[in-house]
Amino acid sequence: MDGLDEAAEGSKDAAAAAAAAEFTRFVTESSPRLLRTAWLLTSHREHAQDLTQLAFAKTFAAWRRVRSDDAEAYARRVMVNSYIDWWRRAPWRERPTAHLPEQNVVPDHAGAIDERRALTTALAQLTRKERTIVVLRYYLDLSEADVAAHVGVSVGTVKSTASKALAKLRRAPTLSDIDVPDFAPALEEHQ
Amino acid sequence: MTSRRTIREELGQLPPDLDLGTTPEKIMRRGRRIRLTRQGLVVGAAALAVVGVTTTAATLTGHGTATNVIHPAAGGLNIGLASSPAPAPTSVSARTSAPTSAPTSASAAPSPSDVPTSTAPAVTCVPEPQVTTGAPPAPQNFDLSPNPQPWGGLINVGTDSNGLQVVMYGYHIDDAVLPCTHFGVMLGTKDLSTGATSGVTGMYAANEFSGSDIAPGFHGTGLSGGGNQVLDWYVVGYYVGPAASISLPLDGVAAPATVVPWSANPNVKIWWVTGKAKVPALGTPSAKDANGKPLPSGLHVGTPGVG
Repeated sequence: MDGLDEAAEGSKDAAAAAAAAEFTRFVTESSPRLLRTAWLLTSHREHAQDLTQLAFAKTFAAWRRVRSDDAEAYARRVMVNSYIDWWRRAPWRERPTAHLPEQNVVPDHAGAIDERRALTTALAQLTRKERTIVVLRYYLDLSEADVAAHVGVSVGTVKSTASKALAKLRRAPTLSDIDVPDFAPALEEHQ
Repeated sequence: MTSRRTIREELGQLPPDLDLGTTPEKIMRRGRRIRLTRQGLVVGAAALAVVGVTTTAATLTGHGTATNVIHPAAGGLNIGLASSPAPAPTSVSARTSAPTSAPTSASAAPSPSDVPTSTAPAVTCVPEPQVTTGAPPAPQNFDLSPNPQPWGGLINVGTDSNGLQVVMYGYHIDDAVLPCTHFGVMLGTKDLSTGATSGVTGMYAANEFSGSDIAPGFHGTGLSGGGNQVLDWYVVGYYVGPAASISLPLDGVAAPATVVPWSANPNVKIWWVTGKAKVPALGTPSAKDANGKPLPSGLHVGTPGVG
């Protein structure tokens, strides 16, 4: 019986080690994409790190369930919802600003640096809701209905908020010629 | 479609250089703790169901814990993912000593996996010193400990449309991201689920995030649309200074707020306005002293946002 217990224990350890190795690979591979999403949401390096770490930790907590599915999609959803939860219940986490929170651009063509800086500035001037909706709708390519469900507002609010946000982003040279749909103003919903 | 693709490509260029700031091993340790917390919640809810505590069990599971267990990513207005109930403020007076000194850092040492990667910016807080004397430990991680202990006495806000007893209280903040903020005010409910009358579950936190938390004027004004089964809406915040009355325009008509001095620092006036119907258009709050003289609004008065 002792032998059976030991064998079972050894098998359990091996499974845990395999899961840990698998999760480590997942973190290594998906970190760059999730960090970028977190940075776009927060415009802040340390906050992006905190948010990504939290998303990974919550994903690991559900690893047995999500490992065989699209774990990165799960982590991304955790990240977005955690971020929305942050802003709702802890308004100190971040705030829109007219100033660049950081300048961390690797050497590149001078024009490209200026363009990215301008886009970063424009992004930082969005409100949290505007930035979240831009990231969800235009970077993660979610549908308007999905964005509305994530943020907890109506589709009309998604449209009007996105329209306002895009108008602000047009100040960046690389986005100056994007089309900004002229949505009818939608009533803001207080939930 | 072209616009969307263009925006995506441009956003995808930003920023080119980021690192995770920790190791997968530390993330896994944190994840295991989250998993254990969820398992504890499931066991706790099941135990309550078995013993047949019908009303109180419904309150506990109904305010979002079950949802959070199954869908950890679920957001919402609740702070009430209470992995451990808030300790009863059995000795409120012991926590109400006048704030006089610099931060005492009374919080328990966090485990490595909980240490924020952020570094405190070099800022000067005016006015100083900040206040933490007599504060209960601040949560090291709001996601793991979202239900901070009350600092000072509980303030009875009233009973909401769902019959829940709503309260406000101060709580301790010790966050490197907020070097000038050491307290906030919380809207919460009496924790009826445990049968205790003194436990509370936080619902909406309001605090300063830019500059000193005790600078004269309004701070942390925000709108809570409910949570914890609370049906009504509340605009809450605090004012630093000799405010005797505060009013908030609702649909353009000034409505008086309820103003109560915070027992841990009577110069801090906790205030709220509440309603049961649809949230009206909210204006900017204003304060007056006991003689009816208008008081400065400060740097952070703003217009209430959605909480």
